Amino acid sequence: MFLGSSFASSKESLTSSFASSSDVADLTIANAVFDEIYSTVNLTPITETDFKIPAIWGFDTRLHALFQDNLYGGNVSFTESIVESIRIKKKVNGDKKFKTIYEKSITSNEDFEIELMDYYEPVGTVEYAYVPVISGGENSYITNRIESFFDSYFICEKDISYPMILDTGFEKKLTQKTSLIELLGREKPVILKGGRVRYYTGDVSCTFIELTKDGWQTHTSWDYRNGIYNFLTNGKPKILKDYFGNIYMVAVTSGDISEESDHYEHVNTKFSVTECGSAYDPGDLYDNGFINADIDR
Amino acid sequence: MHAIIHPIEPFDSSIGTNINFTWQGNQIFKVRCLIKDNSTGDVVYDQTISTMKQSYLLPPDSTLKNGGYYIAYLSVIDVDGVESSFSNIGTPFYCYQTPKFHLSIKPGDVIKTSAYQTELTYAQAENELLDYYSITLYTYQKTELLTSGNLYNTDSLTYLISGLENAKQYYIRATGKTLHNMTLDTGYILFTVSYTEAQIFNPLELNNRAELGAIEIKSNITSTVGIPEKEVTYIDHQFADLRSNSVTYDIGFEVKGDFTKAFLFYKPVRNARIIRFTDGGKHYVNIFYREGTLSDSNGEKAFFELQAETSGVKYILFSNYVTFPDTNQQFLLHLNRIGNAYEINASVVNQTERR
Repeated sequence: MFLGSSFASSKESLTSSFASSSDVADLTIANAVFDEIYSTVNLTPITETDFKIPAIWGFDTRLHALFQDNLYGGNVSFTESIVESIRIKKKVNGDKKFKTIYEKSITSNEDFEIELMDYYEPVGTVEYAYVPVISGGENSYITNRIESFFDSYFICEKDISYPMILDTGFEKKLTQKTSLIELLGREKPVILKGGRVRYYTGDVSCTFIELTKDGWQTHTSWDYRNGIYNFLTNGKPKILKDYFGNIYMVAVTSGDISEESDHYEHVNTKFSVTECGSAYDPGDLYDNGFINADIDR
Repeated sequence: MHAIIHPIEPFDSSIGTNINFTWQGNQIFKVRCLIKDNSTGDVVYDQTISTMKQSYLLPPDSTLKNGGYYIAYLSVIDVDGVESSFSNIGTPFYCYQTPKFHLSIKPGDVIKTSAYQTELTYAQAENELLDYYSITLYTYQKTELLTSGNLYNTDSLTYLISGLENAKQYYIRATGKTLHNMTLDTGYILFTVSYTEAQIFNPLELNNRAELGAIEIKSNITSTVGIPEKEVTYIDHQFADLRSNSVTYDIGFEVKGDFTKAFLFYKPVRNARIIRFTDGGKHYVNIFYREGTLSDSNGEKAFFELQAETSGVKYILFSNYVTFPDTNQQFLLHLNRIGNAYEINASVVNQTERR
């Protein structure tokens, strides 16, 4: 304090104080004819003489309004007041259409933010689309694509996946029903295919040890295995996929989850699975609780 | 015995059509076609042609009118000149002018993105409505890649084709039916995809998480719209006239930390506050437009005054002086905040310099 004035920032301070660096929450423009306004957190030096507003929206862009007959300032031309819900759609190799894997209703602006893990994608090119639903109809798609790859088997459920890396085996067979009838007066038998039955069954074996960034957690593998056994016996269908591109919706069908061991920290687990649906079919995925949207059945 | 006429699809009378029928009597030598106007019952066409086939070629000069509803009767004449009877009930059909049915992609077009929103144009002179349409994408070998299926919502005739690979050629084709069953087809349209680089920023961010065997999906959506004080007048579809109005960006807009802001505008109101932003509470920044002759301004100039108020204390900063913009010029105001200090720079740029 100096003669009733302080140096710290206040109405009575002697020095001109700095401005606040608090966050900016709103922006108002007025009293001119505006062409374009732009806000970014990527600092551009003021000395830059030929500064131009970038045409492309970037990760740092916070606002960019062009006033082309509207007042939109974001990177999309919709707001929470008109969008009923957002759908995430997926298309993998071989699909002819995008299939909805997730739907979220929109009540506030924050609801547009989506963070999602998709565990049910095979190896290969996968396309995703972000689709706003406006008055019941799907608006323009925002799409992106990615090359999906991984290098082990995975067994997963909604929001959880276990890699199968060590001593992994998956011996499968494809089942169908046929019968053979030998008729009198006919040299060759008649083969009948009974029904549409066609599914895979298989025996899975794997040494389950957790791999963290510190390496293989062999000492705690008993606990990790117990967790996996709870997962395998919870009665819910699983997605089993390999690193070639196969993906199956399976249920654990063996009566026993058996273990073979030549060392107390090297335990090989065995169980059997049977295909119970199509991992590509949104109807099957929904019915078995893998996805929350039942739109593209 | 009489000939049984197959259903006749609507056709353009200036093109004509083939009327197919089934006949189980003697070998056909001639076919007579009689067409009546459905509303009046008058015979508008009565011609016999020589043919041995079970079809009658209705020529373009049949004098039928597009938009009309007609009934066709056929009789068959054999080698001895014996004519069969007409069927009691004729086959009705419509004539419509060939509709305009085009895709936004023309043969030989080059598409510069991996995903493209195709638009379909449909128009018909007699207002025959479109019942449904379907858009299909094929590889160069004409293997089907992607199809919209039959879309019955004909309010917006669009379909997104995606997954287009760079430097490849594709065919696209749209088909459809009108309400009265007229077949529409654009045929196969060949186009080329060529894009130089993948867009770095995408509102839909995808990351391959190989260790989890999963794809992480994140949205980078910024949805914000300015709330006007009153209805905004736009000039030339690219300027918002706010000379006696204001627009506020609030929901969906947030800036944390240091930032750059830029404003392009013209005709600011003298001594008026043109820009204001706040933290939603007591802290605010106002920018005023000033004009004047100052000791160091070298004549009358324009400049901007920034006032930042924090806890009742004002921080004031003036921009450089700039000359007044010409009619085809505008102000570019460049504003930085670094830590808790501001920088402000004004310049005059041509309006045409913008995109």
